[in-house]
Amino acid sequence: MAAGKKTVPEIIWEFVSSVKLAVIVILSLAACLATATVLESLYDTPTARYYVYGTGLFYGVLGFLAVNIICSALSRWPWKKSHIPFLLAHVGIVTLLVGAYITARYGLDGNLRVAEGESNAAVEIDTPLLVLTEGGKVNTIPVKWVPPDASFKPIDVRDYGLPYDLIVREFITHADSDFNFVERSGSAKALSPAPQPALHIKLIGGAMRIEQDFWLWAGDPGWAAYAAGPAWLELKRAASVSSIAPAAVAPPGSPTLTFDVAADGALSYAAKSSSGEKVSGRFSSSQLATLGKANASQLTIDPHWRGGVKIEIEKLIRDSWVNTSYKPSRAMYGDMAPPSAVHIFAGKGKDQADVWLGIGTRAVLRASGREIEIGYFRRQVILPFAVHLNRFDVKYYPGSNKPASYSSQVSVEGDSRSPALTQVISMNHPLYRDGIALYQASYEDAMPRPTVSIFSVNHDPGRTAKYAGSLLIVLGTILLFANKYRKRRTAAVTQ
Amino acid sequence: MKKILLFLSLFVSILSASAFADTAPVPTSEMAPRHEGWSFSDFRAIPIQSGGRIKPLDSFAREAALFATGRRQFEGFDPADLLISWIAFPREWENHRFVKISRIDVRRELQLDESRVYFSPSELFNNFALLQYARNMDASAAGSETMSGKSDRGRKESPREQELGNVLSRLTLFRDIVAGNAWLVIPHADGPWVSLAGGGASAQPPAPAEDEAIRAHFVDLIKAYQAGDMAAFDRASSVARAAVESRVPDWDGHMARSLGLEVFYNRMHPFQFAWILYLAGALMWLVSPGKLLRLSKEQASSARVRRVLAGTLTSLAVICHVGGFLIRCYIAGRPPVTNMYESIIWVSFGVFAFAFILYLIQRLSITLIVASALSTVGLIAADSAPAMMDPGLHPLVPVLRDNFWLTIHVLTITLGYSAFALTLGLANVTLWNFFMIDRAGADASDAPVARARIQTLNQLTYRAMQFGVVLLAAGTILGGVWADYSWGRFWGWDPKEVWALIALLCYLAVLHGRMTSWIKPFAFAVWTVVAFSSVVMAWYGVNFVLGVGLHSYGFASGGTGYVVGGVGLQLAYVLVIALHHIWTSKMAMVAPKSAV
Repeated sequence: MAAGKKTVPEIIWEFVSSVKLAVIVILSLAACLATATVLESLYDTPTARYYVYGTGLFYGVLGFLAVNIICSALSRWPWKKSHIPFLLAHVGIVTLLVGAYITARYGLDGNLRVAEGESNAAVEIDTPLLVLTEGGKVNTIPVKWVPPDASFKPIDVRDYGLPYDLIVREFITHADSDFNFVERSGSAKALSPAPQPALHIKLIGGAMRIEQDFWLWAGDPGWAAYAAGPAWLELKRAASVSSIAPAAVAPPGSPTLTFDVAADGALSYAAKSSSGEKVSGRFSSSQLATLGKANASQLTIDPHWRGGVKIEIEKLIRDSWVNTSYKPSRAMYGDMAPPSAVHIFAGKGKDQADVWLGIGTRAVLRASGREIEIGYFRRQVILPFAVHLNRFDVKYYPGSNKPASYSSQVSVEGDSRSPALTQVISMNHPLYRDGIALYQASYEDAMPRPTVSIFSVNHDPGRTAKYAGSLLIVLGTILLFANKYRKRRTAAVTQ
Repeated sequence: MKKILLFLSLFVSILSASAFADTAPVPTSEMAPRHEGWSFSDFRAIPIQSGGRIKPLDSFAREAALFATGRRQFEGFDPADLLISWIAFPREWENHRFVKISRIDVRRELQLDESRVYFSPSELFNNFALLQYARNMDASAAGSETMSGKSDRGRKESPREQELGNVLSRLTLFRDIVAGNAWLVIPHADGPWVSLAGGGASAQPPAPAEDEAIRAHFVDLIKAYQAGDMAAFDRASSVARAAVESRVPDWDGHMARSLGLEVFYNRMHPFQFAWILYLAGALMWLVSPGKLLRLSKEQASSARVRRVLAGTLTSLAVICHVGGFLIRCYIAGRPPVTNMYESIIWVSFGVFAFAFILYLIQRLSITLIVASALSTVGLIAADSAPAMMDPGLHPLVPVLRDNFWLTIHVLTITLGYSAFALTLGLANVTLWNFFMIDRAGADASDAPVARARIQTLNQLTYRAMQFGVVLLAAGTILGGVWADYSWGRFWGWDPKEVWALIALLCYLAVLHGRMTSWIKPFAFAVWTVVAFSSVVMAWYGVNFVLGVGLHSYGFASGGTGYVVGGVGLQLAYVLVIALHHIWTSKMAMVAPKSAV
């Protein structure tokens, strides 16, 4: 039986274009997807992406599906009219896959955060980057995201052709910052000459029996004030830093407590209760010096606030600096988990220096005898136009705090290609411009009303292919089944 | 958190006589009297603001009674009766066992009598462990609010914690009803309505005279109820209803009709009628001989009578089903397919619709029997587990509002589920026929009829599966279109859409396998049944078991045991029949009785 004998390529061809392979590929795909959703449920979306959706195996299964479909279509050559439904449905699937690939490869999908009254054009994408700057030259290195319990492969900057002795040794997927206030020393002093005191205090008592401690630091407006429930605590800032950012202001009517550190190291305070009662006092530097020692007397302030909360002074550093490090967060998964941090080492042996960087922070390191500025950021794409948020609105269902709808009124300046426009972006009403779409994604909740809007920014070059593929699939499937039905009817009639 | 703070204050003053107004009389008996035979018709229709919409007091009473007691009717109390009884006889209810604690581990943790399910508020108010739990919850909530929110707010609650939280909420609800806080019946044009107790969400220092007038009407109403004076109660209710309605902003004919219809819908319970009629219809169809049998003349005429009767019963069932569905649409102002309860009702309807199409084509009553049976099961499931599948009407999250694509996408997908449910029913019947043939042996007298029936059933299953595949494919793609339109991404690997895709892939695997030598008629029936597990996962599992993703507006919990048990029973049925089939065909191979 010479004619029946198949050559190896024929056997392979038959297998690759067979329906049996289709069944196997379909079921493998289903198994991959089911695994991914379970991972997503147990952990979170990026973890599922890391273990399934983003892996070569998954792309391989999809690729195999495409190959199987194309081969089985070719194996029916020459095509007849009756093949049209089959071809439509299966070409549709391949078109859809191609469209999806184009989107994944060339599309843009990020977030744009705009506060009311401000403009922004920088779209953030959720892939972290190291930005290295030296003498005006900027280099970027991607940092591959890994889930909390996966091992991180250290990144040696030299592998990217950069002449620096820098290694990213650790990656914490969800990092909580740890702030350590220390006495300020030489190099850090150069930045601002005025002393920047730091005060560690503790709130105790009250109706809820709270016990809460925190730091106030004059070196940064964000650290100088603290809202503990309704109460507002503030440390007077040094003159040189007060101009960096607009200071937060106590809400009217709230109980306040203000501290001031004099040049001789004495701490004076002034408290005001919500009913307007005032209390003030002063601790001398010698009193403060005994804090933390064995025979120290407790320095306590009774601000006469309603509820009877008292404040204990734990520690005062007259001129302080903050050292930041990171540790894995308690919230390991999900949207509430904080972003990542990296631990970077420079140099070798006893010259070694290291620094922790959380997302959005930067530092200067000496490596290979040079000073390099390192920043750790989310990748940003700058839009060809800036988006100005005029007003953000939330409407609630009557008598509840469930949002019924939210919308943003935005303005975009005109350019050579399109005119200026003002539009309201709301759920299901996006803004389209220059092939880019802005969707109302969410907002940052705040009191008394939210003012920061978050848009999802999208550019999808694969859209046409995906829609065309979808249409072909549905059309083809309907024709396929209708055809089968007609055939069977005809067969039944002829019988 | 506010709720918990309110709750904490319970422990300070347990339902002192400072309940709403000074209407609490001296208790006369241990048990609050039931007011059977009262119509409560005006009382039910009083508009109340609750859960983000304006609804009749009747709906509020039903939700409250169901939530607190876990039953539609507690000890024969009409929900409206129960609601007014709570505020009129707080002392009696405080000592009555009506608060449900469904989990035994929670009862154990609270050191309560484990053999009971119902507990009295006073028992629970004095429960130290519960107090401690409320305190901890309060502290952690306060902590996460002040400490910039980096605690475990993203964490999922365990079922035990959920139940503990629910127990607290049930007590709070009872207290709020007794104290008048929950009765948001004094309309205000701008902002939330004001409660009987006065405060409400926004306390306005000087209570306007009109507000006081409504309060006075309610005091009359409660006093009449306490006195057991039905005529006075009805009079006071009608006055109170008119007073509230006259102050509802934008009160018009549509709103009045919608509220009236809602009371009617609550009382009618159309889906209960529907399933009873479906069941009766299915039984009638079952005893009317089908077309496959050769009948004598008089047999044929009696069969015709039975078929007409069966058809009438089934038509009435469909009328109840569709009518209830349309009323719900009218009340909610949207297609009701946004939670499990509504989708089961819709899918049951879809099953019947497909079966009817197939019946029109092939005139086989088996499709109607299978579909009626499935609709009955579906509607009973939706009807009998109100605590798990919330039958209440609730407002939608922003992304679901006024969206054409939502309607199309969800309706299409769920219609696909309907078609697959029909394949499940048909395949089960097919398997049963295979089992009968296997039992009786290939030579039995009715074997040819059974074989013909199997072939027809297989055809029907295949056809229904085609409907399902087209609809599920189209629905999944429409979901992509909707996601693209709303969020700007066509496909985001969201678990709900992924599971719809997995279900589609499973059926595609069955359909492709049917073209190979792998799947023959028996295997086709087996895999059709097995593939339905993927639909159960996509439909129920993603929302109730996985509980992640963008479709979070449909999340809930409960019933997992029943669903897993149902799927397990179904698979066991398949397994037994398959093993039996393999065994008999092996035996036939070993000792061929006759050549065919």
